[in-house]
This record gives sequence, C-alpha cells and structure tokens, in this order.
Amino acid sequence: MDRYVCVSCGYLYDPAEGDPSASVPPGTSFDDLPDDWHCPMCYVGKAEFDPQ
Amino acid sequence: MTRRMSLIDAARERVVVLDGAMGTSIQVARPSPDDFEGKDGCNELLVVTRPDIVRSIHAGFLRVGCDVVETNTFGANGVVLAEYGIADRTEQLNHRAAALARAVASDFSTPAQPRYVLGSVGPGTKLPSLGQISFDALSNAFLPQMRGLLAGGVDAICIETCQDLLQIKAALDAARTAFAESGLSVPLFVSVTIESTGTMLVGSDVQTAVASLWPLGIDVLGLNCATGPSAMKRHVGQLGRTGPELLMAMPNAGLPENVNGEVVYRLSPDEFARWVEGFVREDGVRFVGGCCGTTPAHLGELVRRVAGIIPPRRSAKRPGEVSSLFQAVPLRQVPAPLLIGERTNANGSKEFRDRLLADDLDGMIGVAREQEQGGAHLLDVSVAYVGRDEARDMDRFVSRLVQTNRLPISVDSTDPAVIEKALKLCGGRCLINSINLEDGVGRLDRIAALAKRFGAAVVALAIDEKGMAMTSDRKLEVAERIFHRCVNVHGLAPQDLVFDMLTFTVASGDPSTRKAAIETLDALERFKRRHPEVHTLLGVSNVSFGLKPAARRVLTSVFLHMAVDRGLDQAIVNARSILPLYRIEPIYRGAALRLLNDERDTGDPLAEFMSLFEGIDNSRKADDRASAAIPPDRRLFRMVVDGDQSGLPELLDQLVAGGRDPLGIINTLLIPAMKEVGDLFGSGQMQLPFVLQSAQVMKGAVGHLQKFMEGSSAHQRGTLVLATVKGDVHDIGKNLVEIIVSNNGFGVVNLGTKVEVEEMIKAAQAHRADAIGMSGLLVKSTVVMKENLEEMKRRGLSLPVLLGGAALTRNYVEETLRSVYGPTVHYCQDAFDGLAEMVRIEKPPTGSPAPGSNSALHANPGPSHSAQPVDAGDLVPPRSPRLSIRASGGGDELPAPEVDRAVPVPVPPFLGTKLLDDIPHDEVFALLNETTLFRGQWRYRRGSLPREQYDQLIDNEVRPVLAELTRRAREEGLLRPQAVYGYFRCVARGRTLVLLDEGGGPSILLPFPRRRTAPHLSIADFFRPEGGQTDIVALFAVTVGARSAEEVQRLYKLNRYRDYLHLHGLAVETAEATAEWLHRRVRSELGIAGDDRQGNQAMVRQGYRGSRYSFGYPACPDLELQRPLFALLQPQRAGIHLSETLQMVPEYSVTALVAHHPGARYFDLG
Repeated sequence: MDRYVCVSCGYLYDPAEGDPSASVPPGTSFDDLPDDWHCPMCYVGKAEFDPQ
Repeated sequence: MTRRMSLIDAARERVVVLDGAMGTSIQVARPSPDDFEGKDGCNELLVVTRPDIVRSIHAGFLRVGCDVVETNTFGANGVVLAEYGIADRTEQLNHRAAALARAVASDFSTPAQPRYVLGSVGPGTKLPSLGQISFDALSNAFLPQMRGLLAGGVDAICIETCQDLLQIKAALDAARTAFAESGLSVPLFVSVTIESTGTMLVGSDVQTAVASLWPLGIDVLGLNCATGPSAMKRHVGQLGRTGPELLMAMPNAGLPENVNGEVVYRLSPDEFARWVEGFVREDGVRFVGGCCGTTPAHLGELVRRVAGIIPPRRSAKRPGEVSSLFQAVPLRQVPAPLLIGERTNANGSKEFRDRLLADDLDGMIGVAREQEQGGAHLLDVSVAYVGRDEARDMDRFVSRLVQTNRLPISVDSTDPAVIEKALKLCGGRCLINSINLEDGVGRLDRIAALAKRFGAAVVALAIDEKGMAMTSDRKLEVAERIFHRCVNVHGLAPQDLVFDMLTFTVASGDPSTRKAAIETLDALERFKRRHPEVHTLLGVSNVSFGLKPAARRVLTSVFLHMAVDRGLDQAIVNARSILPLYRIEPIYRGAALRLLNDERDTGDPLAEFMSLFEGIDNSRKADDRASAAIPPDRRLFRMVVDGDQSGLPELLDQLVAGGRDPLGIINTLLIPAMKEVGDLFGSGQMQLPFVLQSAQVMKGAVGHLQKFMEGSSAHQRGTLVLATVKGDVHDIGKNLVEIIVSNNGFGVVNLGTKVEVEEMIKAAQAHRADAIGMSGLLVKSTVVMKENLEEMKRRGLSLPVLLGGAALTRNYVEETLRSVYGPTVHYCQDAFDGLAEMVRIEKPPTGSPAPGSNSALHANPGPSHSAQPVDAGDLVPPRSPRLSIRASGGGDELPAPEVDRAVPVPVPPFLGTKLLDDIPHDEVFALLNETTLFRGQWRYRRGSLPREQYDQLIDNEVRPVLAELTRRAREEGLLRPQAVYGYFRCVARGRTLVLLDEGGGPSILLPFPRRRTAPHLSIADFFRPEGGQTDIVALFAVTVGARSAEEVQRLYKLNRYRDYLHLHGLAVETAEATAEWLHRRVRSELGIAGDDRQGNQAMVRQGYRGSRYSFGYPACPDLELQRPLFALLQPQRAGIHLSETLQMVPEYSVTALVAHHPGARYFDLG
C-alpha cells in the first residue's frame, strides 16, 4: 500500500500506522480513508495528499 | 622525544579535542595598553608581559578536558611582528609561548590522558598569490617562528586560518628547513579557512585545497574559522569524501554580532558541540576544536559529546591531480586524454615567441587564454629563448598567469633554478616538464627533489645517456630506471609520475623513423601494464612534423586517438586543432592509420597520405577573422570585463583616432565595464583575482588615455580617504576598495594601517575628501570605529563615513553607530558596496520607495499568457493553505481543561526584543521542507507517475532550480532571512494571555478562543495562571525580505510564470524554514532543546517540546492579535509591516507565539 504525503505540511500517512488521532486503524489504505479525513497536523483535506 | 604517544597515534585511537579561541579569550581578560607595550593588538606579546593571562586561558581549556592547547603565537611571524617593529623577537616569543603552553599542559597531563601542545602559525597579512610578498621572504618570516616553536617543545605545528595555498607552501617550507636544522621533526597540520563564498580568500575551494596540499606530505588537513559549524558542514563533508585520512575541524561559535560595543558569538555550547559531533560521526573527523568565540563551556560540552566515539575509518588514497588556485584537474580524464595546451611555448609557437621577444606580457596571457578557451586542461609554459633571461621571463609570466587563468601549469624548463622560481609562484599543484637521464642522475635528482619539496608531479622522458630511446625495449629500460630512482630514492609516488615515451615524426621520409609511432605506442602500453598507477603523456604533434598544416591536423588527431586506445592519459597539443575522429573523412583516416602503422603493402603510405592534401587551403583559422569583426566599443568593454590587455593601446588609439572623446571613452565604456565586473563579483560569477585583473586593465586604459587629455585630468568624481583603524594591520579589504573605487573614476588617498582618527581627519581636510573609509578585520576594530565616530562627532564633523570589516554587521552600523554619528555612516560589505556609496555620495539619491502592497499577487492574473508548463487555471499563486481560517472558537463560558500548571518556568536569555538581520542562509535552507516546496508550492506532484520517473523529474528539472535560487538567495540577497523576537513575562487569566511589563503590570492582552468541543483547550492554558509565579512566552516575526517580493512582482509583470511560481514558492517555504530556525533557537535558549527528536517526520509531527502558534491558524484564527504583537515586537525593524487588512508586508513573513509547555500541541477549535 502506498504511503501518501501531505503537500501542505509534509506529514506522511503510512497505512501501516493508520491515524490514531482519528481512530483510523493500522492497515487502512489511503483510498479507504473517509472523504472528510484531514491531515492530523495541518487540517487540509485528502486532495492535498500525493503518493510518496 | 616522546614519552607519551604521539598526537597522530592518539588520533588513530580516538577523537582528539583541541582547545577553543585564544584571541577572543584574550579580549575577555581585558589586557591594558601597557600589557601590549603600546603595540595595540599584538596578542603574542602577552606571553612575555602577562603570561598569567595566557596560562589561565590554556588552563581553562585543559580543565574542561581538552587534549591539546594551541600556543599564543597566531601572529608571531616575521611579517606581522615587523609591523610592530619587533621582528627580531620572533623566535624568542614563539619559544616562550611554546614553553609556557608546554608547562601548563604538563601540569594537567596524566598517563591516562596526556596533554599536547600545538604550535599555532597564522597566515600573516600578505598574500603571495596576489604578489604582496615573495615566497622566499614569507618563508624566511616563518622560519624563526618554526625554530622557536620547535625549541619550545611543541608536539605538532598547525599552519592555520590559511587564505592562500602559496602562503601554506611557504610556511611548510620554513617548517621543513627548521626540522633539518634542528634534527627534530613534529607532525604538520594545515587548516584552511573557507569563507562564506565557498572558497579561501584567494579563490580556492576545498577540492582545490585537497589536490594542492595532500602531495606535500602533511599529517592532518582541516578547516577552521570564518563561520559557525552549520555553514562549515558542507565543506567538511567534501573533505570527508575526498580528503586524506586525518581531518580537523575548528569552527567559530557562529557569526559575531556587535551588541552595544560588546562582541558576542551566538552559538550555544550545546548547539556547537552537537554540530561538531556530527563532523566526527558522519564525516570521520578526528581532530576537533573551536575557533573564534568558543569558550571552555563550548569545549567542555564537545569533550563530553565526543568521548568514546570511534569515528568511521577513512580510506585515504591520494588521487593523481594537479591544480591551479581555482580548480583541481585529475591527471586521468574521462574521456581521455587530458589536453595540455602547447602554445604558451617560446620554442613551439611563433606567435608566443614574438610576443615574448617584444615583452608583450598581455599578448602572452592572451595566448594562454586562447588555449583555455580551446579546451586545454593544463598549460605547458616554456619561455626559454637564447639570449634572454629565462628565470626573469618565467617569473613575470607565471606571476600574472596564476592570477588570471584557471588552468594548472606544467612548468617546462630544463633549468632547475627556473623550475624552482616557477614553483614558488604557484599555490596550486604543478606538473614539471621534465626529467630524463641524458646527463645521468645529477639533474634528475635536483628536479625530483624540487618536485618532492613543492609537491609537484613530474614528466619523465625516455632519454638516457645514450640518447633518445627509439625502440620499445629501450624506452622501457629508461623508463624503469627513472621510475625506480624517483620512487625509491626520492620518495615520489607512482601517481606523481607521468611518462613520455617520445613521439617522432613519421613524415620525414627517413626510413629509421617509419616505425616510430608503433614503437612508442608499444612501450606505452607495456609500461602502463607494469605500473598501472603512473600516468602517460605524449607530445602528439611531433608525429606529423614536416607536413602541411591541414595534413598535420589529421595525422596528429588520428595518432592521438590511437594512443588513447593503447593507454595514453595526457597529450600535449594545440588544443584548438584536435579533430574528433568522426569529423575526419574515412579516406583520410585510413591513410593516416596506414602511415602510422607503416603498412607498406600498397606502396609508400607517406606519399599516399601527402597526396590527399594537395591543393588544400592552409590559410589562417577562421577565428582570427571573426574577432576582427566585433566593433571596437564592444571589444574594449569586453577587454575590461575579461581582464584582457593584449592590444589595448592600439585599440584605444584607434578609438581616439576615429573621433571618440577620451573622457567619453572613460565614462561610457570603461566605467560601465567596471560596473559589470562589480555585478559579476557580487553575484559570485567572478573570483577576486579576476576582478583585480579587470581593474588593472582599467587602470592601463585610463593611463593610456591620459596623454590625449593634456592638462585636464580625468574628471574625478570624488575623493575617498581610506585607512585601516588603529590596532589593526589588515589591509586586504581596504586595498581592494582602493583598486575598485579608484578604477571607477574616484580619487583615493590610502593612509595604510593602524591609522589614528586624527590622521584620517587631517587627510580628509587636506584632500577635501568626500568620504572617509575605515576598514578593520578584528572584532575589536568595530569598537575602535565607534570611538573614531564619537571623536569625529565631537569635532562637529558629519562627512560620510564608510565602514568595512569582517566583524561588522549592517545592524551594528545602521543602529548603533548611526545613533552615535548620524545617518551619514554606511555599512559596506565589500569594495563594490563602497563604490556604490561613493556613487551615491556623488549623486543624491533619486530612487522612489519600493513597490507597496502586493495585492496584485492575490488577484487572478488571467489566462492570457501560458507559455510555461503551468496551465491557465494555475496562474493564481497558491494561497498558503495554512492560512485557512476556521470558525471562531468558544468563550469564557466553556470550562478550562486540566493542564499541569506547575511546569518549571525556563529562564530566558533576555527580556524584551532583539533584531536578527544576519541569519545564515545555509542554516535556514537546511530546514527547507522539500515535500511542501516541490509538491506543494511548486506543484510538481507525483500523481500517477512511476516512482523512478518522478525521482528523475525531481533530479533533472527541479533540484537545479532550487540550487540556482538558493545560490542567488545567498549571493544576491534575493531571499534574506531576518527576524525580530523577544521573551516576555506573562500569566494566564482564564483564556487570555497577559503579557507583563517591567513593573509586573499588564501591558498586552492576548485573548485566545476555547475549543468548542472537549477538551476545551485555549492557548492560554499552557501558561501559569495569575496569582503565582510568572511564566515566560516568546514571540517572533520572521521574513525573507522585501527584495523577494519585488522580484516576484517583476517576474510576473514579465510574464515569466514558471520563474514567478518558483520564486514565490521558495519565498514562502523559506519564511517557514526561518520560523523553524528561530523556533529551534528559542528552544535552545530556553534549555528545552534536549527533547528535540531527530529524523524525517520530527519537524512535521512536533517532535519537540512545546509548540509555536501563528495567528490565523486553527488554534488562534483571529488576525486581530497581530496588532498587539506588532506593537510589542516592532518587526518594522526587520522590514515587516502590517497592512490595514492585517496582512503582512512583505507577504513572505511569519509571526508566532512560542509556548514551552510540554503539553502544548497544535489543535483546532473543534
């Protein structure tokens, strides 16, 4: 599964880690993240993410 | 003599820590004028007058664990001490200083930790590469120093803070002489200073220094001074990749700042030690220490950090390279061969010979330039001509050549005295052409010894007592004899030797030389196989001697290619006349090959070859015709810029004869040309010596035009009185000012060094000067300048004063000194700044203020121009996503969450605000976030591209842009990180942060909203509440300067959209990086940087203690808070203003509030 990077702040979404702060379990691919999921560091939306 | 392990052996076991600053430590001890015996600034005298001070400085470093102390002898050489009139005391002072250091070191020495003494040898004040002192005079000035240090018992000698490779060679020579005299010898350390330009003062970069110094048999090579460790890092990295086994690094404690007359070095012991630890772990440096501004605290921290580290082993294989002052050139080129330009040779080139006989130095330099432009990698220089003084001619030509030409030199002479003369003029590594056994070993030994002494490489010819070796076997026999003599008797290394198996013409018709090419190439191939590390050379043009020029060109070129295939590394050629094989018709190529291989089956190959060239035009090169077509005006301009004087008088005469007014020539051609030179220097495209060369052409031109302007002198635009201030002997900067300013039409009165203000005033009055220029290298000269200005003010003077000096900052001059003297004192970063000021003084300023608000940048510029790979919809510059303003938060009705309010309050280094206007670019750029820059701002997204393709795009298209823009930022000030920051006492009153004034009363109120959903956090919760101990908050504002905004606007108006996007994006990201930089500094100053996590995501995920909040961001969206922040910080001092709509101008600015609380994280208002 690809890791995705936030182009606004550089935060790296790693599917192996998930996003505990939004209750997203490890193993969740980027595509499977909810549409309204946002970057936990800078709050921008999925559109601002790019595959690493 | 060593009871203890030698310093070199110690370094092979562990990291060796040298001490910190002597000069700045002495200043802290505040010796009195009597201590200097009236010789202000002569620190070395203190060893005799105040040994207690020197002893205590040494002890201070030894006490914190330094292994090595350096003697207080930095300026104790004959040149510098002569300026104080005490050159005769050189040896004595060095002896005393060494003995003193030795005694203190012995007091601290234990069997477990022996302590060592390093003899410090500074560079002196005269640069031999610029012709300011001869090699011999300089070496003689170092000799008593070396003797004294040795006699005083040093464990090693360090030739440090070097600015000029030739200076280093002179010092090494003196050291070796002292060793031979005394029978003692100690390890030799050499440490060069790389300025913020990336090179040594005279223009040598790290690679060039390595190539030039490694062959000299030194034990340790390193870097010291100029900058702090962060700016030194990339040079240390370079050294680590390509340098010898044992390396040294001694950075300053950052850059000096002048704070109310006190000199302050900013870098904390912790930061300093962390960087230097990195040099050890990552670059394999084994000798570390500190230079200016480093105290026992810094070194103590360093000792602690490097204890027990075993640095990575470094392989150290010295490559075969030669060098000029400006570049290193491998002797083995890929693709082969290395081309040695043959035309700067009185015997080989009629043109060069004619110019030599006419003493036309400029013309001779012109020939060299042509060879360089034609692609030569090295220049073979031979000036021997019967009836002339070869030594004198070599001296005159090479002195000029080293300053004006980038190529390394092959010294072509059979006279050892002439070779020695040439080697004493070259800081770079030369090739000596050549040695042979024609007269037995006598002359060979003398020249090989010179090669060893000066670290040169040598060409060996296959000639012995029986004559030139014609057959392959004979050539090998001679070459082997020479090889063994050089390697086993003289200690040269195989890669220092270049073997020439001799080339004879195959075109003479003489049957005995028909196989000459075959024999030569056979010997070459066999010798190379036996000794793979040696290099091989041929003077290939000889193979075609006797043929017509067109035929020669073909035969020589084909022979060259054949030889390269058989192992040839280097060729002496006329670089312009070599043809690549594909440019030679097959029929010519075939005939040439048959001739070279002596294939006689179809007849005489020579006759066949020659017949192909009947009737071919052999006229002059087209190049000669081309240069005559350039209009004389343009040619004169280019000659000044190129520093090319050949044919100057004729050109000027031609212009005047054609009706041009001499004064007009000066004002409309020469002066603008010098301005171009200034711009090229300022943008880093021209090296210092080349600037001087241009100035020389200027001077020559003006001088020549004088006779056409009978009586009336050239219009003098103004007069500048120049001086280095009292107590300072450094005059390089000042003299550059004189050269540049005087060659731009101004009169200059140069008063020299150590000048009292009284003398400056008198001279200004006598010459009716328009300005006084004061220069000084030393940090304390900045204080002297202040005193001078105070005196001038007392006398009621207000004429403009220009100040220059390495330790000056713009801020010190424009803030502190202007408040002393008034607005007419100006900071000059270099000679061209000085010139600009003189021009401004000449004409009153007429410029209008910079463009104001950048609202145009936020409007949609429309789709009319889309030539760039940015489609019309993307022309709106990306609004920084971080400025997205969320809904406002809740108020006092919401309950505060539980936050530990008892966290200890850090002690800030000061209260109130500070302006930082000299933030090092490198440190900021090191914090650039490439993801957000490349993908966010610049929009280079990977999307669905395969990973490799995207990586290639980044490497080929994107990184070069970044490199160029950061270069321009550094060199042109295109981006100039600046900041205002401060620490304030504060308390929390509910959700409002109350900043307190000195009296403890409330001064500024910053109300922060609460999260609407639990936990109902507000930024104020991270601070101690009212009623108990007060807390500390830091506030800051950073910017990258107005220039970037102006330039972005300009690019946009020119429809250069890609450039516009790039610069805008970089400016935004650099502002962010500057904010990161400053945040780190704050954490460091508050002592909470220990919690900083390392690694990729550390910065992004707040891998540090505390948090910084910028107004307008999720946790505090209300921009109104910018008002009180601006009132408090006064960021206008850094050029940041607040618009009516609370936007910052320039837009590339960031403000923030820093909380130290461990629980402080980013949050939104829920």
